[in-house]
Amino acid sequence: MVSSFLVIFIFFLNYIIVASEPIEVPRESYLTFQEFLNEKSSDTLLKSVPADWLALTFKPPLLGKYKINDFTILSISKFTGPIGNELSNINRWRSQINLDPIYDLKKAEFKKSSNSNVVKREIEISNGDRTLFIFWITEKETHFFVKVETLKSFDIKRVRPFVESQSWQNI
Amino acid sequence: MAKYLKQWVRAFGGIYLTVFLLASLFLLVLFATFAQVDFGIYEANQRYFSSWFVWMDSIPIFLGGYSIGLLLVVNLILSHATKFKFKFNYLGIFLIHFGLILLIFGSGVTSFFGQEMQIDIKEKSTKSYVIFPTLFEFVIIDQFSNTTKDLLYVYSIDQLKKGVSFKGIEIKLTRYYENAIINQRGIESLKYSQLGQFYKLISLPKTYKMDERNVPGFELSLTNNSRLDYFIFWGGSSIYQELNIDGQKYLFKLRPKRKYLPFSLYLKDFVKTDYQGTDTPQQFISYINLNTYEGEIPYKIEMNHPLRYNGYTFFQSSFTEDETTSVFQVVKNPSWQIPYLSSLLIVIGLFIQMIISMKRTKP
Repeated sequence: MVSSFLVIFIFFLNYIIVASEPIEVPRESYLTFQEFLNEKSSDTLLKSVPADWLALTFKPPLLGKYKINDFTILSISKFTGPIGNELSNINRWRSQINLDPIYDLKKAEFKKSSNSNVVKREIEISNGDRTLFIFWITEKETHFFVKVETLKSFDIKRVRPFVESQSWQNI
Repeated sequence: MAKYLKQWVRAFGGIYLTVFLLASLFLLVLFATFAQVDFGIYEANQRYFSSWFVWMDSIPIFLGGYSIGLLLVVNLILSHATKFKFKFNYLGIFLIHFGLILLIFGSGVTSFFGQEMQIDIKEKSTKSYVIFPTLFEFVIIDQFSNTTKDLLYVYSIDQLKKGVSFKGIEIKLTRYYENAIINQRGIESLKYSQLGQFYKLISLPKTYKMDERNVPGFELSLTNNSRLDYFIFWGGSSIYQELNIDGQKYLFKLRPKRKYLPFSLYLKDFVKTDYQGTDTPQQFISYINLNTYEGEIPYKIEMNHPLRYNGYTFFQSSFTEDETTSVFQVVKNPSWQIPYLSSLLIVIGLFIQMIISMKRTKP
């Protein structure tokens, strides 16, 4: 009889768990979620990142790096000051996918648009196997490059809303 | 009854069992050696040696290290109790066997009560706790009830799985990942509060590599009256989320299990010297102050020169890339002297037995 009660008691004890007794430990300072948010908002920028993009680790001058799908990577970088003219930048990207340089800008023209102080350029460069879609955003002396590198056919329209929604002036 | 008991004692003290156990031990070491290729040293040790049985799914398929060790000790003791009569000529054999029993006993004590921990200290800072890098705990911290100390409520993951009650709030683990990473969400999730709103957990396969570790993550539901909140926690995060109960603020987090020490360590300086012309470290030294009730004791910890204090041994283990934080492996082993003592007994026993045998064979 007593042992039956003991078994039932232990059985219930297993399921009734209340707050453990607190332990006194030396005072520490912890990074709280609110402090983290404050820190984050002071130095971040990128918004409206689509839910299915996987954030990857990155180092400066990159501001972010995402895996859009198994064949497509997007990276955002920021440079300040002189970064070369349009032709030299095109040739820089061409060399990244083993293409010979071009000497005439007409052979690879940018699509350009401007809005207040921000100039946006867009270009597609492909070697057949790899394709680069570049968005070059210039805000006064600051340049942002959103580079999408893909190994398969990719609809760049998927990226445009992300580029359009950024407040480049505030980054 | 006595007859059956005698039979059991004879069987358990018999040479056949000794041979069987030694053969089993040989096979166990062999299997574990193969297994460590896939599982790594730590996991293979847990599965083969620090267990009563070796399991395949939920079926025991072989004796584990604990069972073999225990049976060997029983076998040795019973064989001495039933077969040997103490004579001076057998003194060496007695000592050898006693040394062996002590060695197996010491291994058992180390396995059950030994602790391996870690502590990393930044230069010019003090720490009074060590962590268990592979174990995790869920903590709720009250920083406001006491003006000088933090009040810590600690829960294991098993407790959370069953559900716990804290100040009237029911906390229940709703999803658990043994190994996970945390990643930024594209769109904020309104289901979760705080961290989970912006970050999501991604499950990873369990790793057995020596240079990697499994970092768990989980989702918790908190029910307060009719209000239901969901939170995510990840063991590698440094962020403490906030919980408000009846106007009182608490912090909560999943973090590596801590053990608070009755003393603290202050790292005055960390010095690393390289072999000339290379980046290969020649030596690295941590100059620390040990703050105890007895006062402050300066100490120098370097490779092969650990600090032993209060049952803990601090070995210089590594350092961070910027060379401002020193990392120590911390071991607490209540039976650390036993292997030395047992080895000494075995050596003395062998020596005595050799002398006795030489005397016996003299013409």
